[in-house]
This record gives sequence, C-alpha cells and structure tokens, in this order.
Amino acid sequence: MRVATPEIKHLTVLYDGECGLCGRLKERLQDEPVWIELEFLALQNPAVPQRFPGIEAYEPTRHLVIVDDHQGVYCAENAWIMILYATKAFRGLSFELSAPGMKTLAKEACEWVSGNRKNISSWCGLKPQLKRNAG
Amino acid sequence: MNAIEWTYLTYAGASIGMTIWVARTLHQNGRVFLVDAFHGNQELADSVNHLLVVGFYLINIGFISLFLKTSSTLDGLRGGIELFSGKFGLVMVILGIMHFFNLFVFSRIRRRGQLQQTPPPVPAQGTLG
Repeated sequence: MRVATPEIKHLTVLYDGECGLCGRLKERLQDEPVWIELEFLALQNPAVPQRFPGIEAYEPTRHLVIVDDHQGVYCAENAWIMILYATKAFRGLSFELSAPGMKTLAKEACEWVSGNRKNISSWCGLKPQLKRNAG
Repeated sequence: MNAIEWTYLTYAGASIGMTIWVARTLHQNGRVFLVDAFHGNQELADSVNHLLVVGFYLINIGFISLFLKTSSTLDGLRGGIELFSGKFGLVMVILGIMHFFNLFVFSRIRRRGQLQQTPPPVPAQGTLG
C-alpha cells in the first residue's frame, strides 16, 4: 500500500544504546547512501523525552521506533521498512516487504529479533555502544 | 579475391550492418525509457543513451573483428556458406544477449528513477504532540 504523505526529509531512529546488535546495525546504516537523512539517537540519551514528548507510549524499549520530520511515528516492522525506504540500495526491498504476505513475515522476524536482541548481541560478541564508549 | 576473402567480406558486412540496425533501434526506443527515468531531463537522457550506444558498438564490433579469422579451409560454395552461417549466427546470438542486457540496464535505471519519487510504503502509526 502506498500512502500519500508530505515529503519526508529526515528520520530519527531511536535505538537501544545498551544493545550491541543495534549499535552494529547503526554503524552499518551510517555508511549506507540514503535518500532520506537518518539521525540515530540512543534511547538512553536524556534529550529523547524532551525532543519527543509522549514517545514512551510507542514502547521504544520493546521495539524499534522512528520519528519523521512531521512527527509521524513508525514502530517495529514499519520502522524497519522505513529505514530500508530511506536507503538508496534497499528502497525496492522496502516495497517488497510491505506487501501483505511479506509484511506478516517481516513482523514476525522483527518481533523475534527485537525480543532477543540482547541474546543475539551476546552470541555474536557485540558489545553495547554505550559500554564501548565508556570503556 | 578468393572464396575465403569473399566469405570474410560478407560476414563483416552483414554483421556490422546488423549491429548498426540493432544499435539504432536501441537508441531510438531506449530514449523514452531514459527520459522517464531522469524525470524529463532530456539532455541527461540523451547523454546516457549515447554513451550506452557507443559501448554497444565497441563491444559488438570488437567481437565481430576478433571472430573474423578462421583456420579452416573452404570446401567450395557450401563450405563458404557454412562458415558464414556459423559466424553470423553466433554474432546474432551475442547481439541478442547484448540487446536484452541493454533493456535490463534501461529498466533498472527507470525503476531506480521511479523509486526515488515514490511515497513511503507504510503509514505513520501515530503522531507526537
């Protein structure tokens, strides 16, 4: 489904700074050529509640949450689809994943990854960014 | 001129003639795709179209030249026709592959251009404030 919205020029990605996997994905995405600017902000950053009042209602600690420059909020699989949409290389994939059959699969995959992100980080030996910066 | 030279000349003439025809077809009909892909920027579309056709000519005429020589001896008119047929047939197949490859490139460029302007695939699930 394609949705008529005002043009989006900026997306703020609220990621878990205490999750190694999230930090690694952030680094990977920062190197990716994009059509929409991506800003990464750790949930643990004190500026988050001030910049995005009411964001906790979207459960950013449970799954990935993104805010666009019109204050629109995207959660879980929709947030991942929007990240892919922002990139030049994976915009086509974002449309494929948003098709009805694939969206269910994407939802299941995102829920599993979000729920197990700390275990996955531990299995892969990925240290959280906040600890890396501190250490 | 002997039979082998006549076969070479016929092969080179027919292959280059066919290359020119395919390249002109690609140039004329591919332009529409490229103008659409570059959002109506005709100057850029013409430039890319011209560069693609130049590449097409270089690869095909290069292949035709390299493929011209034969070590086999000709056995009369029948041998000449068979040699011409074998070489010209392979050139046709290569031209066909190159043509479809160019169509693939055109469609990729067009699809990329279309994607750039496409609105998001998912709606926002809510708004802040």
